[in-house]
Amino acid sequence: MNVNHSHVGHTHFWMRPITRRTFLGSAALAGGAAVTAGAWLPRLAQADFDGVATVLPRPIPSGVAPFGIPIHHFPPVPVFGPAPINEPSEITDFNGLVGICRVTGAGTGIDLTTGAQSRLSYQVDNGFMSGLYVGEDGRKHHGTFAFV
Amino acid sequence: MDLFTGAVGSGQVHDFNPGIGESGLFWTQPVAGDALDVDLEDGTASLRLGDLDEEDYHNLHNALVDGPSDPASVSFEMRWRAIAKPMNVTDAVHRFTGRFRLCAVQIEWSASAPGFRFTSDPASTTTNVRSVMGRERNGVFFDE
Repeated sequence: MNVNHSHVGHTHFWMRPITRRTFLGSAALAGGAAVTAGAWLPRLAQADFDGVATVLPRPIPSGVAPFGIPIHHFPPVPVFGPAPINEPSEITDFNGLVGICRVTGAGTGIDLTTGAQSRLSYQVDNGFMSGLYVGEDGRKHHGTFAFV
Repeated sequence: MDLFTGAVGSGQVHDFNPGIGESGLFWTQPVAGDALDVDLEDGTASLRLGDLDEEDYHNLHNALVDGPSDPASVSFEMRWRAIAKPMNVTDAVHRFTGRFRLCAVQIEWSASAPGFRFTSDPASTTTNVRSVMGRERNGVFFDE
């Protein structure tokens, strides 16, 4: 599978120190379990997940090719089968909690130079993965990741 | 996280994502674990992140070819709520297995880029297209 791995001209987030990423509402969650597992799930150790992972996971091995460009990702729709859902995770060698979505809506954009406002529509495909994974270093880690 | 001047898919002006990793890791970035709250039995999850470092590639094609981008940030709070019973899924072709629930998701979010700021309408106005949450195993854990 050929995937565009070229990156020139700017610095991606994983090449920068984590300085601005903050959590909103930690006080509301502090003291409560980050994961509440039901009868069909073992309870997960919250302490393993509180920090920010320092070793990146590896991508799923397959995906789709928008504009003929192969990527390691399946969108929530359309469903390609044979399963009734597409692989919702972006990371492979993974055992944990996962969520993905496609939602649409609207909002307001502001040109900060002129102050002009405009109505805009949005599509958001976001998700999460949290649990055990084999990192790029070949070792097992716990971590939480956002698909944005 | 995509913005359009027209209907979704028409006139895209912003495309916020963290970029594609050297490994091909797609638009995925590590976050603090306590940003995520999941209760699979109850069928709910929330992900709340503020001032998350992103890049604005302005449109999907430019993002996929890693074209020019502007530094940006996004903040969002999104909630998954199950709308169907759990289902066991095993896909031997793509080698993932797990237990999942179809969900409805609501989101409220904002974004900042040079000279620009966006604020979404309230979460209650979100239109859910298709959403899923669950627990899964893939890759080397698929056969466990």
